[in-house]
Amino acid sequence: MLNKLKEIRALNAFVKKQSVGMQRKLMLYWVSMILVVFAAVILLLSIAGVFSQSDERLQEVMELHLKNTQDNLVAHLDRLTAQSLNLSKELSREIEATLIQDGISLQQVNDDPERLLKLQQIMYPLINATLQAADCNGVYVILDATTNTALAGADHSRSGIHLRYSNLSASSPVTPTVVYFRGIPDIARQKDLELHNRWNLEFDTDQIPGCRELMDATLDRPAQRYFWSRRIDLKDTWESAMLLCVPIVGSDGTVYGVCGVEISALYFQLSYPAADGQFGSAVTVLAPLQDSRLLLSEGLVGSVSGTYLDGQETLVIHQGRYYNEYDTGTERYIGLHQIMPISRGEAEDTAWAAAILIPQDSYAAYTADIQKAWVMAALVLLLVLLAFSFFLARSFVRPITDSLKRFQQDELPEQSLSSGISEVDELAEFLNARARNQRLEQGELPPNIAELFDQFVVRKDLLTESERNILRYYIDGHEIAEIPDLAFISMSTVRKHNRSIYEKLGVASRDELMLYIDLLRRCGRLQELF
Amino acid sequence: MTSLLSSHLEDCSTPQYFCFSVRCEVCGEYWYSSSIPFSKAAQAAQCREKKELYDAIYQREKLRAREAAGQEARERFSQCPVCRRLVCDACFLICDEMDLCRECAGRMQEFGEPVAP
Repeated sequence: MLNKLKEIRALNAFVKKQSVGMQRKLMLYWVSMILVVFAAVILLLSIAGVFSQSDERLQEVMELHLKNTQDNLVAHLDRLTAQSLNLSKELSREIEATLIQDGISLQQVNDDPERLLKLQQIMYPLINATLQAADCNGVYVILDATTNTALAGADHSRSGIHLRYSNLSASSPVTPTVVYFRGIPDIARQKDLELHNRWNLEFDTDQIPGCRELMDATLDRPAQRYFWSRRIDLKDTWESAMLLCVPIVGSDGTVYGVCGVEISALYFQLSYPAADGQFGSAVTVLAPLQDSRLLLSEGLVGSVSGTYLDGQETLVIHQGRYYNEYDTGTERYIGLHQIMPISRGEAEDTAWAAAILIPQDSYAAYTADIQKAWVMAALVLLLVLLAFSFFLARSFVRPITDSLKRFQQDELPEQSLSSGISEVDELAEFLNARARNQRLEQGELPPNIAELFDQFVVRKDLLTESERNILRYYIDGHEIAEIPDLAFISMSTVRKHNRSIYEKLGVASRDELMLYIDLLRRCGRLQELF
Repeated sequence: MTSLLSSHLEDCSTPQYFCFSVRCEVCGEYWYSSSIPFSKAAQAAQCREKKELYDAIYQREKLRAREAAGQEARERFSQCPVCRRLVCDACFLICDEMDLCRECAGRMQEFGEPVAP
């Protein structure tokens, strides 16, 4: 590990020693800056909540959905409770009237099929009327009496009537068929009712948790204590249902039995279809809440189309910021739940919750689409910024590289072209000046000056010997006034020679002539004039 | 050249003016320098008692006038490099090989243009 670290440090030092192109370096700066800006934008967007917008929207939608569902459920269950309480009162009145008329107590009805039949005949119209009126799929009455106390299991076998709808379906909800599930079959024959294929004469109270305790209690009125049972399997059938258990309380506080309505799992499914939304199918759930677990197997689940729920799961709840997660162990759902009281005076204090569940997969697919769009947009933005940085770096460096190329090709014009960057122009000018100085120091002349000098030297051949003689005096550094004495000629002759020399050498004045002579002397080319 | 000219200057001065001449040895024409008046000509004529003084001044100014005449002649006279004669610009030809006096050029068949036509 230490060796690797050393190798990396050595590599880093080696890279630092390498010279990096200005464009690459500038590109790196730009890319770094753009990445910082990009990260800042992403950070700002995330702080502004752009990325959690879908979560917030989901929360809003689910809260609204949950509120509506809960309102519907509460209204539904309240109506059923009211109807059941009303049924309880009427049954209590009828049973009590019959018992008083016969002068017997309810215990004396045990082992008396005739009296039980009579009671059930009295109760049937009330039950049937409730079934027709209530928004449920079954109504039942259990009397605290049995046909034969001598039979095994008589202690938990109780007489009663249970009417149910048999052909529930979403396609024909209007004309369900009433079947006779429990009760004395004579009534079914009298009322021309079909017996359920799993008909039984009496109820098994052990199948309904809390039923026995409710019948054994002494109460003032039915509303003092009633409850919804957890979902139970209806004996010998494939169906399961929740039963509302309302006591039938006599005027003396005696509980004659239990009555109520039934909501089967199928009925609940048909009553609460899954709501398809942009986030996925939302399933309505009414289930007991226990230790942060939602027990679907003991509650009712609405239509599960579009989900993998089968209504038997136990969902572990993980609280979240925007929504909760419900884990079945194999599948995850997201949603919200709200505790709602649906029972009163229940011995077993069960917390019931209404919940909305959406498969996490469908929500993940929805958010994945949004994320994909964001990622694509971010990538496009990043690519655009990178391309922008590349072009900026290139356009910035191009004048410099062009200047460098010119330097490398020894193209150093006197009037150097402007690169558009003052520092580069200054550098070019400096290099030009230095190159010129170096050439002059080495006896070289700038190209255009050298050309002029060449022409000057060539023209010197046009001079006559007399003129060359005069020119030599100038080369020797003599003034015009000195020449007559030196050459023994008149000043007019000197002037005439001068005019001719100037004309032939292409100079306008003696100063220009002397400049040429001086420069040629410096360049060591003076002998070319002789 | 100056000394050569000085030796060829001929004095044509009067008591009032200074003037010198140079003769071209080719064409024989005389050239006269510009006349320079004697500054004390009037006083010298009137005050005979200061004759020595004015003579001295006269000689001094004449020397200066001679130098000026030499300088003036320097504009117009050259020495032929072949015959060594002092010639005026009209008789001095500018030739290709060497400037010569008219006679020497003619003798050597050198063509040239006179300095002063």
